[in-house]
Amino acid sequence: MRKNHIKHLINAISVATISTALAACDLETSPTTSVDSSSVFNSTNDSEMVLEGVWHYIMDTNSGDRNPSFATIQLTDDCMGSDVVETNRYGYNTRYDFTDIYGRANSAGSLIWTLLYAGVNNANNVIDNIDIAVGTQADKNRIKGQALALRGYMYLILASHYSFSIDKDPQAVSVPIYTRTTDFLTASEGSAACSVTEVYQQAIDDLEQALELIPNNYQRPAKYKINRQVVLGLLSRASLYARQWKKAADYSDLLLSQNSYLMSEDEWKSGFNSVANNEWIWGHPQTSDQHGYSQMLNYLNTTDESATYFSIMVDPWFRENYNDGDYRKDQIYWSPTPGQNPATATLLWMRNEKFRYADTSAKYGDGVLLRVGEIYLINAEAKAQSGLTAEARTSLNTLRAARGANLASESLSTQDLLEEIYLERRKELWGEGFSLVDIIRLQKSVERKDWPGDNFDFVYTDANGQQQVRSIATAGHRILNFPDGTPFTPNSKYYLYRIPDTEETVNSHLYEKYPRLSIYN
Amino acid sequence: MGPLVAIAQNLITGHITDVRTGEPLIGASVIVKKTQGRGVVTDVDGKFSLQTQVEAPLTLRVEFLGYRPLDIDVYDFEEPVEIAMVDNSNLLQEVIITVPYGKTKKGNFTGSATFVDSKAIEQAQVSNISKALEGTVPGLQSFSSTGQPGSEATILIRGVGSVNASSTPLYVVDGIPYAGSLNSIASSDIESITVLKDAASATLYGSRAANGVIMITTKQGRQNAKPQIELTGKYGFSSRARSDYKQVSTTQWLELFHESLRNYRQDQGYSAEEAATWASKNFVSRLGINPFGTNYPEPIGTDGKIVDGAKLLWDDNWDDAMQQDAHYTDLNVKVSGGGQHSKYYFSAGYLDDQGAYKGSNFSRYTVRANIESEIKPWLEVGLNASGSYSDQDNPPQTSVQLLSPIFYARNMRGWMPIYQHDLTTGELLLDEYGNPQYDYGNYRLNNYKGYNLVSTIERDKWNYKKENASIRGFVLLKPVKGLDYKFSINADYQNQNYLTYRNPSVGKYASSGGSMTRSNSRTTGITLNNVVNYEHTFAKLHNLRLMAGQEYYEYNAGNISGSGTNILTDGYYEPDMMSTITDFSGSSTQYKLSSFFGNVDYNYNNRYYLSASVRADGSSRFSKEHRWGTFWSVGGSWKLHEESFLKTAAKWLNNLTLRASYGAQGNDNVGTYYAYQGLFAISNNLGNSGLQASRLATPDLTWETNLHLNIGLDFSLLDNRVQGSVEYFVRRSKDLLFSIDLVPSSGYSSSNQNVGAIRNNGWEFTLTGTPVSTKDLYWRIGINLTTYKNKITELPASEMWSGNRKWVEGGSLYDLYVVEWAGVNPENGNGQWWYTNAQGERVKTESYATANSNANKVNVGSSLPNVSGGINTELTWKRLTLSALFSFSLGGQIINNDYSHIMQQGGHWYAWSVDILDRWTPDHRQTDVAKLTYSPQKTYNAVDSHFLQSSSYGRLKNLTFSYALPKQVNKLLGLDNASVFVQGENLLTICGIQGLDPEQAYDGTSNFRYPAMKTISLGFNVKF
Repeated sequence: MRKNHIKHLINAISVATISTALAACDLETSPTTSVDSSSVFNSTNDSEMVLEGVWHYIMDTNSGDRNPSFATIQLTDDCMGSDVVETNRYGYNTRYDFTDIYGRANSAGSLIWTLLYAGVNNANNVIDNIDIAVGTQADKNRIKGQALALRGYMYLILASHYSFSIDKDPQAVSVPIYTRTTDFLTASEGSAACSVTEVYQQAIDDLEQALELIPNNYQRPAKYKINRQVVLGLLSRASLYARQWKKAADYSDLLLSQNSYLMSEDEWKSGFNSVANNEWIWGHPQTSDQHGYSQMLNYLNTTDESATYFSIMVDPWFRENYNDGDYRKDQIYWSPTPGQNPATATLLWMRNEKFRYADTSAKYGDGVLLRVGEIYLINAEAKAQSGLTAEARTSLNTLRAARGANLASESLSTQDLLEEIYLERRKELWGEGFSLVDIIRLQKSVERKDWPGDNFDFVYTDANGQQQVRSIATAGHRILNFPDGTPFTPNSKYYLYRIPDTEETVNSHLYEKYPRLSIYN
Repeated sequence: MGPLVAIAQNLITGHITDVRTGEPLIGASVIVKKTQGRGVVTDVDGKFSLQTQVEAPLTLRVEFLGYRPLDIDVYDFEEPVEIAMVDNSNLLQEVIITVPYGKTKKGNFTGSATFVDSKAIEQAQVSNISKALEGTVPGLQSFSSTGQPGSEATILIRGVGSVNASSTPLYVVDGIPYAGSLNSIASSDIESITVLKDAASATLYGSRAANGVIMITTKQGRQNAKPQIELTGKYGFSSRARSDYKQVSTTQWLELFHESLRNYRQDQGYSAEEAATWASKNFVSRLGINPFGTNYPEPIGTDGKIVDGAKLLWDDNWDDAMQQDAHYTDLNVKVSGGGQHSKYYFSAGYLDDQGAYKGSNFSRYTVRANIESEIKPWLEVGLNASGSYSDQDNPPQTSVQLLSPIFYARNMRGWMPIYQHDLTTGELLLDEYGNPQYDYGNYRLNNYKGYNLVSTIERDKWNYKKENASIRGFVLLKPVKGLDYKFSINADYQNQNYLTYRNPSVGKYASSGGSMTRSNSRTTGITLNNVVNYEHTFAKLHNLRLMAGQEYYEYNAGNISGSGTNILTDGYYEPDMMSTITDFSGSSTQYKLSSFFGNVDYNYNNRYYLSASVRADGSSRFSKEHRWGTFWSVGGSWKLHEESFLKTAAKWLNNLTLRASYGAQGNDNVGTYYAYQGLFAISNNLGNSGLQASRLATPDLTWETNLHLNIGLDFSLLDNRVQGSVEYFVRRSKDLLFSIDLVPSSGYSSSNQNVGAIRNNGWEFTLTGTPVSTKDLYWRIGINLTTYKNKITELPASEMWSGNRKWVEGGSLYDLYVVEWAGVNPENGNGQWWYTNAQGERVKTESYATANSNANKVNVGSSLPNVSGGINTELTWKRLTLSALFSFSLGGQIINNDYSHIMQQGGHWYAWSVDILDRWTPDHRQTDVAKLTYSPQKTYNAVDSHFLQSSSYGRLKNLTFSYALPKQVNKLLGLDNASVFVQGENLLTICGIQGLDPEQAYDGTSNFRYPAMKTISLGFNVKF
């Protein structure tokens, strides 16, 4: 009896043993948040997904609140310029006082480097694999063109932020160029940094190739997709930054011949938060569940209490550059910080209500990447530089007329006209991320003038509906010189993003072709 | 059945008690020596009666767990035998320890194991078992990165053996690796913890044992014991174990703020007079509110002093307001007992551990049932089942986080009112019901605007609700003598629901309608195994034990999470309440491990011991080609005191054992479950599917191996009054999984590779003495010490960085490198740092950004303590017992970010330490504290060498004073046993740095850590 029981039991347990042992044979597992790289580039559709994915990565990878993905560059550019007053709140105070991006251990520098080169590597993956993918030739051309345009855009940003103006020292070192998919060897050893001229040229070459590949009749499904107008706009910008005036004039002419719409006053005042704005050639739409990029509005939106930081204000002196009647000026005025009781507030800031949330509770709004206003200004600058002063003035005045600004007079010399154009860029593009780039490429200096801070008679309506006047102190620029106490100068080491520490340590080829910038010694 | 033969039966009766307390010992076994007959066990009164055919005189063998076995000669069957046994629970060699797939007597074990009994565990008033081990186990270091109730400590056994893979030990509950949450285990359910440190001990858990094993054994009933109910209750109060950093007073702060405005203005190019006038004029506007009232528009004069007549209208203490009267409650009921063929243990417990700060509480309910039954002489089954439910409020901490109560309480200054005041008179503004109204600080010019955590910390939520279930079931077959087979099936299940909630009514998030995230994660860990054991003794001298087994482990985890805003009504915490969904995501992971293992133990005449183990593991983390790793160990021990040449020493030498072991253990916990694949990350881009290159393939990635040598000497002298052991270990890790930096411009940041090696070698000492042991007075004292060195022997790059630690060959993983402070420039009061310029000269700079590059950082010491350990003692006089555990850690540096944060030059509205009073001024130029300025060059998180501090400390972890009720009282109350006690946790901390809570993370940085708790409670324990 007993033996039988044991036999049964042993049989049962043998079954258990064998089945667990069999279950143990299958040790394959796979993730749910990624796919294996071998299965990615089968069709043109796959390549398109890679462009979607990396665009999402660039636009939605935040490194703390102070670095809202791609918008970090735009916000930093403005905070390090002349026309933004930062309120000494979290995040951009250290950009405003020039202690952040000069330091190599900063989070903004490494994030930007990572995002831009992720764009390059993924674009290279698409460019290398698209020809063998299953799909129509038309799709292949268009996708390859979009990948090239993305790569060119990345190199344009790198060239304009990691090196001084191309005419200061055309052979000065800039950043490495990669045009092939990264393999393990490249990832381990890196590649030599090229000169500022080479990096700008790479950007222009990529964009020009893209222009050939993307068909004219391509109907893009959304405004963040790159079509020919976007490529023309980026080419105009890249040529201008690279001081290739003829190209900049031609490409911007071509673009303006296709799209010359300037927004109306109503559109201007609607909050700068919608890709539906007809003047926007290229923009990044945001949704309630995808709005990493629009966290920049937490800084730029200075009218809404639910914005977290509202720290980017206007230099009160700068407001004087707008003439009365210019509707852009209406949006710039003294105010306490949003949500503050005017009856007890102790300080007024010069606010610009240009940027507002499209949705206050989810706190998002679309972002603008390229618009017709800038193209007019590129066109004007390129033509003025080419000696076509009259055409340049026309382009400038077309924009000014649309904004209600005084027109540039015919008596202006070319140089004065250029200065007018530069100033118009500051006025038109305030908050859109061009301040520092212009200072660098034009070899100008940051200019900040002390604001005396005298009281201003602030008029407000109290809780009982009565109009009240209170005399309140006002704030302007807080930082009037570099951290080392020296005055602001052109071509300062404080203006450039620095190549990250890790890149210098790991990339053994980095300074093989061109030496490290001497300002860092 | 054989033929019935009438044989004379002699009856022996007796009574067994504890020699010191006189308490009856229940369940002690009594057997007549040199017979095959069954013994008996004592009953509830400690009495026994035994029938035997053996005639007098005979010898009885009396054994009871935790007591020294006795041989009693009986000459007369008429007289009841009175036996008094000596408590031997501290006799290290005799304790039964849990080892992989079995149990053994510590004295027979060739590996390195430390046993912690239930007493030590129950005395710790902590809600996470990982925190109860500090100071109790040599070689084990416990680092509490937070003192928040319910939180877990990081345990390191013999140092960090891995760099990028996991360094945490394997937790094993009742013999099976545990996949649940550690804070779901009630300490009162724990019978013992055995910490396995070396290869011989741990190899049988091969794959996951590289960082040591913590074996938790839960309580069981006893066969042939009457049912007993045990009730334990503790109730007490908790507060911060150490008071916070001392800060300047509110008026000092305000005058200093004026000074910082003045200095900033001077730095922008204005004269001292102009700057002082500007500072006075702009003082209130830069503060945002005037705490002196509107009658004093310029309350600080140009001399930097408060003007005559100006008085603070309020001076609030936010730290006090953020703290609560925290309570500690721990209630447990246990029922245990057993019949002839089975034993059972049931328990239920409730713990409520409140934090010193509001909104940080932990409570837990636990139940457990452990049942074992001997169904047939050849068949046993057992089931341990436990369940728990816990609820933890866990606000953010350890970072510069406005929502962290620690950060907030420290940084809110007294001039910021908690409640709204009339800004002229300072009177409180009351609402229509006469209650004060919270001030949300809309006047604040920094991002503190809108936050009043005194109001919102409990209204908002950071809440974890966890349900844990854990099952350990087995069937044991003993088909022939010496052979057994065990099949076990084990499952750990955890469900965790997490809520973060920002209320839509008041405070910062009200203007955007509040927000909410609800996430749920579910994990299961299933282990199936089959183990065969065979034991045989040849020729009475050769004892052999063989074991072979197979095991399969599968871990599954899944989570979903949704967030939204626009919450309809305050006080409702379900997603239905949110009108706008901002995020919904979810993913799952799977991990599988298949293993085969075997073990041989042999001893000759209980004198020479040898053991060898091997285990092969296949892990799903690696590619097919590199999936399997084989790990092994050999060990031996020699009981020198059994040798004839030491027989002369037998009078004073009770034990002398030499042990040695060597072996290899694996580590596959590389931080990702899909370690070898080249991957593209999936994303959703504005409604379209997206893919993005995220990882380069690493098909060659494989197991990390730890090679562990252990040599130990155990001794016991003078009738076991002095016991101890010395151990030396060398732990070498090879094929270390390093996360190698890739060139960032390549589009990838890092890659895991098996390169590099490190070594930890060190000594462990344990010494326990019993200076006094009489009937009334008993005193035992023990000490343990650990010291070890960590060395990097091979590195994939010439240098590597991990935060503030730099790794180079020949250095240690714990070496701290920071920018070197060069003092304050006496000329202008600016801070200075050393840096090496292009010419290779070491020069001073006033720009932190210039100095702050990796190449420029210098070694400033190690975060690793030189020596750590604990002292424990127990003093008993009659019915009173005093026991204490004191832990300490000597040497080791910490980068004190908490301190540097309150030593900032200014800028924001942060707090200032009293040490800031020593700042540079034109009249006080020789100082190490830079001048104050509204716009400093160096921000709060910039680290330099002068914020490095010694983290040495000593801490009285617990002190218990208990009184056992006299027997007569117990009898009167119908109890078997009763005691009352007072218990204190973290009563005393000795540390040279004021304000620092020294138990910190082992990376050597401190960041707004939630402080350790001091808990004092009263308790009782009754058995009936």
